[in-house]
Amino acid sequence: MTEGPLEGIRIVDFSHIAAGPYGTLQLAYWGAEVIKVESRTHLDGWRVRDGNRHIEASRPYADHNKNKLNVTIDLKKPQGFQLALRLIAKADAVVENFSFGVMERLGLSDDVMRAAKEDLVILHLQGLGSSGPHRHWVTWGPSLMPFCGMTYLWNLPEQPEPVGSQSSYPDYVVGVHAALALLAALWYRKRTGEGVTFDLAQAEITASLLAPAYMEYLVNGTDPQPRGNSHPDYVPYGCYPCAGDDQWCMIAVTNESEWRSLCQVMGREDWLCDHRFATLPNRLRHRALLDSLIAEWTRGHQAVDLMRKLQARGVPAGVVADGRELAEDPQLAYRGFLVDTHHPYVTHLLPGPVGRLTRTPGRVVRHAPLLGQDNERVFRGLLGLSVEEYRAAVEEGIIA
Amino acid sequence: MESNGFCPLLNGIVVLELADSPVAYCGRLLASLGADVWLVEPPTGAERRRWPPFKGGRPHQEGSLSFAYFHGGKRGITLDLACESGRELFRRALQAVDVVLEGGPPGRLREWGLNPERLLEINPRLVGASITPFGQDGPYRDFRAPDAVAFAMGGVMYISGSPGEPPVVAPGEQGQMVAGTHAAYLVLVALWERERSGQGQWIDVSIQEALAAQENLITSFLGEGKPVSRVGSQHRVAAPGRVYPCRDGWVHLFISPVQSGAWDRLLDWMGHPLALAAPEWQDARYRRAHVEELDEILRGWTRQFTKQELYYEAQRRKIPCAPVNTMADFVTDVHMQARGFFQQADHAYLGTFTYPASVFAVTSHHWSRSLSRPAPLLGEHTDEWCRGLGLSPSEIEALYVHGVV
Repeated sequence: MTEGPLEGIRIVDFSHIAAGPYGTLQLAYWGAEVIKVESRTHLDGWRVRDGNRHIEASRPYADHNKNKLNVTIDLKKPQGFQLALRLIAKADAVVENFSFGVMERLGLSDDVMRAAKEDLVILHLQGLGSSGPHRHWVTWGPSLMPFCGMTYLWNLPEQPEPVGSQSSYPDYVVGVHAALALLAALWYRKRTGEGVTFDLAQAEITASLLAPAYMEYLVNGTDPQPRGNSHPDYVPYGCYPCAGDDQWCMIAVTNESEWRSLCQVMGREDWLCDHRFATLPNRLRHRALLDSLIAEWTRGHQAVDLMRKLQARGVPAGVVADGRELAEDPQLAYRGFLVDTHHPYVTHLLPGPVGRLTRTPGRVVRHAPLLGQDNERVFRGLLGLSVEEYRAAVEEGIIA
Repeated sequence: MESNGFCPLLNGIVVLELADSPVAYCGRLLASLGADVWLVEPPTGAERRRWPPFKGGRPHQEGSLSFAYFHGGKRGITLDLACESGRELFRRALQAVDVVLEGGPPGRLREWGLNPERLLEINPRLVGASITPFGQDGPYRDFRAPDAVAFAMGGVMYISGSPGEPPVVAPGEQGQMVAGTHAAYLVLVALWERERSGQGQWIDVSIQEALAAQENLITSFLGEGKPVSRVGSQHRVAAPGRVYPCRDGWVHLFISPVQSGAWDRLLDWMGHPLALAAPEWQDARYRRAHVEELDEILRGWTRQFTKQELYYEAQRRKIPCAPVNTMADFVTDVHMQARGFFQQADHAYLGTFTYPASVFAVTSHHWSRSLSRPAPLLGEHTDEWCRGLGLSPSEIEALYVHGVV
């Protein structure tokens, strides 16, 4: 019942929480059949992330698992492992982000999986990868940003200690890289008949986001320091306070024409002849003064009004949007970005697929699955278990 | 079928990438996976050649390290798409091209007579991708937004930093990198579909959407009625759950309520200090409620170690702890070194240098993680490209003299 450009691709997804599921979500949006494996004794932790008591009422789970099928297998039981292997034998790709060694302990090593399906695409997605001297070391969400240099750099310059961002943002970036890896390997397999085994390290993908900073160190030998919201070569460039509580506008003037327009919007054409600000070198020299004068002005504006006023004259400016502003953003509304997945418990709108294709759009065709919702369809339908076999597996806690 | 060369997953796919900043990472990803990517710069050079950092801090057309990173793996031609002769060459080239990447302001391609509909008429199998801050249509369509502005509009900036302090934009150009990754796999979706239908199509990616889809920002607001806000360094529920000072920097220590064993192991490591002997400290909620007292005690302890001492010993004791690495720390980390994430390249101006290579490490094949070539010198492959289109040396010379190539 898949529809869309990736129809016919089947992925068995053992991944939990954010990175892996966000990656397989992308393929699910475009029509791949993603079979998510959980069990009652080993739930995806995302189902209880917000402390919700009802495991089907999790917002993040509903968001990141749209379109997927769900089966429950007790992988620790030998027959559970066998059932999983039968499923893998019918799949094009397997995705997992357990701690290193877990798949092997479950019996699902690369060799075993490849013996079941020779041309399988296997994607391992550990924090530190599945090879290297520290591959068995433990990583978890909050450790990735400190480890990769992100926490060190993502700060205002004057801070006494690094703060970084408390978001799980790297998880999502890792997820989309995983989606790319899967499709690239499936493409390769179509041409050559060969499967591929990936050893992706979330730490490397996250570090890549800072690549120019890494180049600075690697080529010039200087260790980059946090810059906050300013840029050494552009002025005005920064996060300016607006009217109201905790309202901000990012303004980034990157050429003379935008500078002139800013002065005109502010009614400060006098600055164009003011020796302190007339030339770029002088503006850079008087950056702090200029910033404080601009901030005085921005404080008198609502952030959205400021953005519109400046953009109308070609000055790059954008509201520092919070969740409310995103939910009410007119551009996202115009694009139909939020969708109703008709989820029985998470009843509000959720983000839809990123990216529009002119002929074969991405779609939400079903809400995130309830636990075990597709057990019959997959075990009886796809794997061909008889009614008796299926009932026995349920009774023995293999389908659990 | 073993190959001992570079990653060949996308071998045979030919990509023309217009040198717009929003598509740089997308092209790099495709190149790192083996696609044949040609960077199309204006004859005066891509804007990114003027972006820092520069080798030795000296601005130079071939010295931008940003250019060197993002355009590694690609060939480079110069072509003036603002003139009809240049556009005609571009159209001519399309027959042999699978993918076009561009990131200019919406409407620019149409102005040039190179809009998607026209290009798809020329080559109905073409797959094109456009990356812009807000997409090809809508009320913000014509807004100007360097990466920092798009990032602000995407929601992740607001939750980054400390309460009472301004929000902090992510370092670098993370908006275009996230959007570029979406565009890259969508190119493959379209190519996959083309196998079935024989037809290409066009892809429209918005940087704002790529960011707004993340981090449960919208869902938290719609579900709870108030937006997520900045929390600073301290984690919402975990204590310890922040950075702690060391002799040579900081580490991040994090024991979540579900990791009961880790707290006992930490006490053990600390030698069961009297200050934390009371049984209440076992309760994660108590720890969080008394976090200031807890942190003062912990700081006194962590201060005596270096980052590496704490990190290594914590891993040995299975306590969640990670160093707050600088770039230098990460590069010299023995695990990262062993994995081959950093590779060397040779470039005519930059010399031999080390760079972060492909993230697509593979264990089933012996493929190098290096990119297949360094970033191109300005116009390095123009001649080759023109000859491939059937132009004679005298035609190429005339085009060069006129600044068309």
